[in-house]
Amino acid sequence: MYTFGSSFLALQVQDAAPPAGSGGMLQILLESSPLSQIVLAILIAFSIASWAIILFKTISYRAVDRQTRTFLDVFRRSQKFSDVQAICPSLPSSPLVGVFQAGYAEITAQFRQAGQGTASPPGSSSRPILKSLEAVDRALIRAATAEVNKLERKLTFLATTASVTPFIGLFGTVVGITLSFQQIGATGSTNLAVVGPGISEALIATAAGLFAAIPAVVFYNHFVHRVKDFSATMDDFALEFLNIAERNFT
Amino acid sequence: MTETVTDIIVARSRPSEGLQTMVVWSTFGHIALIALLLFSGTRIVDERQEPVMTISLGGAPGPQTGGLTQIGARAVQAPAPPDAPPRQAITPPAPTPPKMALPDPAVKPRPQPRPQRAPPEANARRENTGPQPTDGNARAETPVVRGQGFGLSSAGGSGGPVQVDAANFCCPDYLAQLVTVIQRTWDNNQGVVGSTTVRFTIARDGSILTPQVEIPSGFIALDSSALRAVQVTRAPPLPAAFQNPTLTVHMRFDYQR
Repeated sequence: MYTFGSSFLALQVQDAAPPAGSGGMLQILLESSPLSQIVLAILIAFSIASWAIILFKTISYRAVDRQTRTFLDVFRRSQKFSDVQAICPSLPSSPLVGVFQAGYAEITAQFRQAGQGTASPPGSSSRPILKSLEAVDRALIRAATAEVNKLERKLTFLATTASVTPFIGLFGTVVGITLSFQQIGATGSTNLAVVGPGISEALIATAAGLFAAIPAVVFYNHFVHRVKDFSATMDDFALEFLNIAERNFT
Repeated sequence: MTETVTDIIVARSRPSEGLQTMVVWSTFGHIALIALLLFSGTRIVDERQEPVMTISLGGAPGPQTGGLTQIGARAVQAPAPPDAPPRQAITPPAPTPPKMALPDPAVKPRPQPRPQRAPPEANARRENTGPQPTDGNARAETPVVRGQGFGLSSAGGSGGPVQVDAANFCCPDYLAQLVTVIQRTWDNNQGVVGSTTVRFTIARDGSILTPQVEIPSGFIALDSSALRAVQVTRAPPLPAAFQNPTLTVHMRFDYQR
């Protein structure tokens, strides 16, 4: 994706490049108006930030995927919740860990309260009884919501980049073309040598806007789909957890 | 009052590390890309002057023609000569009208010699002076011979191949004419032996009305061939000696092979 984006920009620039003998890209940028330089700087900043988020989210989602599979594997092979709790610190990226820890903490808290009330130690031979299964459910829902929020964090910036940067680039192009029309009016000639560099410089802004927007759109859609997948996995796990708790502790 | 679940959620919601590193990586990537674009810009636009190859279809202008023969010493596209006088259109001379020869009233027409009758000796044929022949009532026998000629004939008498629905039909010549006309369009070579009788009516002008197979032969090919022969025929008009407006004919077609 990265190289594709660069080759796309290279093509655009090659098309927009002035004819031979009028200087390279650097000269065009240095001679362009300050407004278009600002527009280009904004677009580059957007692009840098969105690519940073893309890389970060790609790596972290890969870790989430891997650790979730490991966690589910361990969870289904374990006999006791305490065994699962023991490996939780080694799998910090998986959202299921957060859901499990919340449910486990709620169950433990209920047992502790019950133990204080009846003065029997938790984990004794007598079978512990949950006071409220709904409270465990609520704890799971809270944790799942928090995990989804965490997964979706900074994705909004990708959406913003995808929708805004083409407009910023278009703005720079329109202003640049306006300036070059003024130049036509001032010199009184429609010679391509007068008009060409201005329009070329103006079109660079649109190209940069598209360069920033296209990867953002692609990866935003991809990430939203991944988050939906993770959320479904979490809901599924919460129901499984509730079933086990109801079967064992009521 | 703090709750353990909230503690866990808050602890897990802390922003994870790694974004700053990615920002740095992304910045480096963009700088590298922009530098590549900026400083390879001179290479994107190729400013080298390629040697221009010129192909002259009229031969090279110099003495070395490389094996080609020159068309001529003239340039192919010579500039137009300045201020060329406009060419006048060449019009042919007007044709002289032909002289009209008027008759001279003073000249008298030359007298033409009157044609003269040839003497009677010049005629090859002598005038008939003998007694005139009269119509007799004797008849010659013309029997039908099987296996000879066409299978269609107009032998006279009742029971012949052509019968008419009129008592004492006046004109056997007409029937012979009719048979000849129908024989022209009749294909009697059908490969089967058989006999078909077709009944049709002839109007006064000779048009044939309502032809139909009266006695079928048993072979559709024979029947349809005979019927077609009658249908495509235009009979001669009825003779003036025959008084009725129509004449109904029963014609037998004999196929002999």
